[in-house]
Amino acid sequence: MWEAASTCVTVPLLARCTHVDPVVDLAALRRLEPGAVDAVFDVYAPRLNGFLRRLGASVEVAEELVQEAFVRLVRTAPRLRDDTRVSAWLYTVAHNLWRSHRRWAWVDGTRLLELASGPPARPATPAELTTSAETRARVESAVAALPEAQRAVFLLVVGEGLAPGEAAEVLGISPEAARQRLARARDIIREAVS
Amino acid sequence: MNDPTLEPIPLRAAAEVRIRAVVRQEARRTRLALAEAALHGGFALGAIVWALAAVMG
Repeated sequence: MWEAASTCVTVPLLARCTHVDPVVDLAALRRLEPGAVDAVFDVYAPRLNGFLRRLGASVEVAEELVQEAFVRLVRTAPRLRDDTRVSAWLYTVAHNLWRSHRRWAWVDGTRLLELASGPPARPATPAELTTSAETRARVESAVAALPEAQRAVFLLVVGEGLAPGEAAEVLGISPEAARQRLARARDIIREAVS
Repeated sequence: MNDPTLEPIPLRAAAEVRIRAVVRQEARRTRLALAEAALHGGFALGAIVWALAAVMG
């Protein structure tokens, strides 16, 4: 039913992932078969969480938004079209939820606390433990320091393997704007880690 | 070589359990709503067919 999710390979750092979207059985997902929903969750929950955390969400906020994104997916699943890319759909919803959260966070003041606490910390994965901690720290820091518009494009294309055009759709910007932001982000990251 | 910096970030274990439960519950609720809608649709169609048959004798 499902192809195994391939690993996001980026060699070197600034290359785009070669694949990320595993084949989703849309028919099973439309019928909301438990196995289908679980399989999508297994693949995309950690990815959405990483995307949101690197956009600046706290651990708790990222979890809340991941939950909301999947609840919306389940509610919408019976109406998904044949050409729907579940990954792009989920990133679009997650990004919109994040933007909405930030607007309200500004109002209630919690955003100020998030800003004051700096870039979000996150647990190390096994792969990370085998890689240069210094390089990793510089990259993570450089990504966190990117302006959010550039960071979102960078994370979607480099981190999640979307094509620049798909990232543009997720973010609601033109493909040209996405390419420009991506190029600028790559320049900044390259400079930071070189 | 994987780029470790942009690897997915697993949910905390407790949060994953909680979110999975919420999503499964929502899936069950949605499936039930779809089944009810289909049932009502079936009744409506049956009633129309019955009425037509009655009119046409």
